Amino acid sequence: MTVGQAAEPLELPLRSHTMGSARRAALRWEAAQGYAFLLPALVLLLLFHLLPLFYALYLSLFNARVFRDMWQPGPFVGSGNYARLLGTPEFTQSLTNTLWFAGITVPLGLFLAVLFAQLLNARIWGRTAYRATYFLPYITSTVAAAVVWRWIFQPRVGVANSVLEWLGLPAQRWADEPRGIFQLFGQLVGVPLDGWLAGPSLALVTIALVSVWYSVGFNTVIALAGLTTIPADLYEAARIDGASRWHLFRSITLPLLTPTLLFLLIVETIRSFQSFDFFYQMMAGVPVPGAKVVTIYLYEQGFKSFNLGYAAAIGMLLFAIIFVLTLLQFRATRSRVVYAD
Amino acid sequence: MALGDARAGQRPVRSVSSGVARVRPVGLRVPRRSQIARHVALLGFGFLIAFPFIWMLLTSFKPFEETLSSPPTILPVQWRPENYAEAWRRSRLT
Repeated sequence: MTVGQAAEPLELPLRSHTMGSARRAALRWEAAQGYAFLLPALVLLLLFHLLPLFYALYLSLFNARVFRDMWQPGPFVGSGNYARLLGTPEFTQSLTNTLWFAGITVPLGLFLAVLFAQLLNARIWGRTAYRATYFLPYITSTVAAAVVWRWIFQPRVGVANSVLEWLGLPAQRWADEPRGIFQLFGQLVGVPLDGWLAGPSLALVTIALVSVWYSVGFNTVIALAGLTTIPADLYEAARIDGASRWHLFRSITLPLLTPTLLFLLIVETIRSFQSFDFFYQMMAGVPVPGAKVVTIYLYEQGFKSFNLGYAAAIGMLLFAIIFVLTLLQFRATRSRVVYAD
Repeated sequence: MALGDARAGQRPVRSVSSGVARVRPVGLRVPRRSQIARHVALLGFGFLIAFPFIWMLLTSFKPFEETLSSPPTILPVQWRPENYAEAWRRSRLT
């Protein structure tokens, strides 16, 4: 976009009548140069983003298993894969799991990001060390992080259970626990909870916590950048008027942070729906049903059972859900977003 | 990272009382008592965030049998830095 703008000279209004043909040719040459600079990025985008997307859409219309001819992947079934998908309890269960996962990681991630950014946005000793520590998980390989977390949450020798024991609580199976967290909590206090009331499985919640741990550094940096754009005089004026710290946060920080929060909300939602690596690695290939999210289900169907057409349909449906959710978030938050200037 | 610093530096306030124009940073200053609270909170969350790294470092010095002990030892009872030599050798980087 910026390249295109740079290629247009400033005297645009004069273009229509007074411009000589030599000038116009020069303009066109400049535009061509601009597009030439864009070309490598466009080619990559087309080859590795758009074409696979449309091919997946094509593939999802066939009962494609193992095939040779790219354009003849198997018998044409039309919307058959989609119909089968919506009638499969395993899929709807995985969708519920994904929704739980998003429902945990997005609010928790945003809350912690704002909290950490507030804490770090001060002139205090060791600020750089704190910021580096908080950002550390994000630059770690997820595979390495998952191995360490799996060790920490290991049911027999993990340190997480030692902490629980030290607190006088029963040991848990963490990432291997298919039972719901409300159910487990209910057991502790003697209230039986089943079905819907059981809540998301402890395995899912464990992985959600690891996922929040991983991305909180990135979110905090974004929130910090948002905080530094808020003019300091607003706070001074409010303080002179006798505003409390809560009022400063509620009436200045939060409203002026909404563009940043909107960005984080959308990015985190998309990330949570696409999340795959921690699920794949923490459950070591044998997923607990209560933590089998859509991406894991897609992987199993596509690359273990080789139901490629069916897997492509799952992918397209996931794409559609993310797309609609993002649009809805833009809609819902548009009126509430306050820009500083 | 230095954004906050830069902004605080851009808005100097001259204290008139002392007679000499003295530049003082504004905006991000915090009173002493809430500074301590802030450090406590930052250290607490920082420990939780850094815990996997700490645990990995501690485990890397334990002999294999000790990593399987239940309850786990915090500091290695028996330090075994040979783990690193072994990992290097097995990775066949050289």
